[in-house]
Amino acid sequence: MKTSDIALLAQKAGELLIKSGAEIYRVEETINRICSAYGACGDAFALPTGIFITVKGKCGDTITLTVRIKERVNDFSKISKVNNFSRTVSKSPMSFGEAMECLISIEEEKHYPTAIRAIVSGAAASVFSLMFGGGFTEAMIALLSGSLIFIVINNIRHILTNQIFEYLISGILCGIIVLIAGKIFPQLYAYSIIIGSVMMQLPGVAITNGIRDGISGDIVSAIARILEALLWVTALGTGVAVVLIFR
Amino acid sequence: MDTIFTFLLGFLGSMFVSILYHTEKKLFLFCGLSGLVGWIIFYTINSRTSRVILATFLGAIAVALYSEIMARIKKTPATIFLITGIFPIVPGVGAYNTIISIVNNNLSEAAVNGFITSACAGALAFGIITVSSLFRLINTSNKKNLT
Repeated sequence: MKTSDIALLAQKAGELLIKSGAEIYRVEETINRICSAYGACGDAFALPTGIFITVKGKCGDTITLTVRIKERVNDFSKISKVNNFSRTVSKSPMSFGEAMECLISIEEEKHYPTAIRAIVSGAAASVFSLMFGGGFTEAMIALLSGSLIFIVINNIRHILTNQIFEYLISGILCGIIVLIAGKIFPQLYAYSIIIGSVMMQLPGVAITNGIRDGISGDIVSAIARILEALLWVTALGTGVAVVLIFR
Repeated sequence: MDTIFTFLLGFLGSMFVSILYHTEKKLFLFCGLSGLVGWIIFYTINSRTSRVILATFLGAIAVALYSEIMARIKKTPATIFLITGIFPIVPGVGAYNTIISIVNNNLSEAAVNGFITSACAGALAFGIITVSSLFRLINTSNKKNLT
């Protein structure tokens, strides 16, 4: 196989992994594994916002590719499929066409339907509001607001210029719902509703992943991830707090 | 009864998170169990000794052990069980509390909350890394024995 083809395959796999929220070491490992499966020597430097790949072919030719990654969502089924793909390739290398087709079919895989995800995010919100001291009423309001926030964000995501806005708007929405609910039921424990409805957006996992990256030696991506997480939670908290001033 | 209900919440929370993160259908239950394991350890230690950071560390170790074992049984990356499993014990709420204290001009509380948040995140990461390094060590020594 041509060196450029190997580089393209490795780039596609790495891009898919980062876009699905995989760890940095897994991305770099996968790229190296794919390259060595085809007899080339690959070296990759991955960041949460982009990848640099250099592939050295058998005849001494070198190819470098750069990919910029703008958007990341958590998608575990893609991570696990790309992982299986790289294992299959390193056991029995397939042709370029086949391998590329395989990766593209992984990329185009459909998510669960939006309606189901909206209901599930509402259910998750009610579970977390119960976990943080809410009662039945709080859980029901969190169910509503969790689903509502998901639906609104899902529909306006394409017109927003960056992810920070998404978090700001979730915070504002959540604040408005708590404000209205507080007028109807004055006895509400508002904190549990807020935590429940924004739990999915809170960057606890992002901060932890950042520190994990740092411990495993990827210092640059650790700083990038932690900074991103701080920006998210600031936007979210500001959104909630700005609305709740009127309480 | 109350405790069992609380434990159930950990299970449900992780399972719903796994659906939102597009895990494959056959793994939903195992992601939920991962959350249950972590949440039971975290909740019991936290309510008995009220040492949040220690409880987070031990919870992380429990989740990481479960995930590494499950990953070998189910032949999927351990991250899937790990991320969904640590969701109930992750310090996202602490980060939120920090920002809210800053907005309310309650800076001493913000400092405390911020410190607890970063300490919890560090404890989580250290717990996970400890276990996964251990498993990598076992893996590489096994491979050396085979060849």
